[in-house]
Amino acid sequence: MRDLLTVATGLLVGVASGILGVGGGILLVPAMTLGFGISQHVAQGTSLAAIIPTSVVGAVTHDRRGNVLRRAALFMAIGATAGAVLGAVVALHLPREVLARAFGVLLLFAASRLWPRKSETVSP
Amino acid sequence: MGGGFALVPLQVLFARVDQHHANGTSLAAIIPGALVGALVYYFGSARPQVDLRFAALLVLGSMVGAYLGARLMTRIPDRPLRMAFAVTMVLVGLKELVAP
Repeated sequence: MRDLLTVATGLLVGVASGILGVGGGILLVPAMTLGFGISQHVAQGTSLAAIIPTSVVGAVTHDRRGNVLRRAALFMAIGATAGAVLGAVVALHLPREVLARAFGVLLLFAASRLWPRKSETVSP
Repeated sequence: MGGGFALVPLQVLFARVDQHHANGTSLAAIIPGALVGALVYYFGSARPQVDLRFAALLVLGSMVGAYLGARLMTRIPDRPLRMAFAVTMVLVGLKELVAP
């Protein structure tokens, strides 16, 4: 039963990942800690492992439809990987709660900027 | 975290990329970071911090889900797609603020 629920969780997060273009870690980690009682550290590690094949399938499917800017993806991948290493070092020196709250504020601000304006026309 | 929640808004807000390309590109860009992260969690401490069995079960569902989601995305117009992303950001942002 637990295994079935795990697969179902994967399916739901996978759909969100494919639509939104995110790996799904931000959804997987709370699902694992709150829903399955997995420790924060193992949840983070396991979610990163699960993100890899999920993103590969999503990215290949998007690429087939011409929705991947390959050059930009390459440069962002280099930047994001370097950022992840830096982030891990910073995370070691700051309490998790502070980081999470700062990230929350940043997300809310970015969401307000992202919301489409009435007059705005989005270039293809 | 792979970083998709940072990469998508960065592309849309600063590089003026449309939402569809931003989402597709972000998904490709997070792969190497997730790989490095997973390796660090697996080999970085005395005991592997990755539950491989749980990951395998998740992946069983999430690979199918990602394929369906990616196909579905192309049918959603730019504006509602952006709104869906913004709403998800608000929900995640509130969660991080209230229960970090």
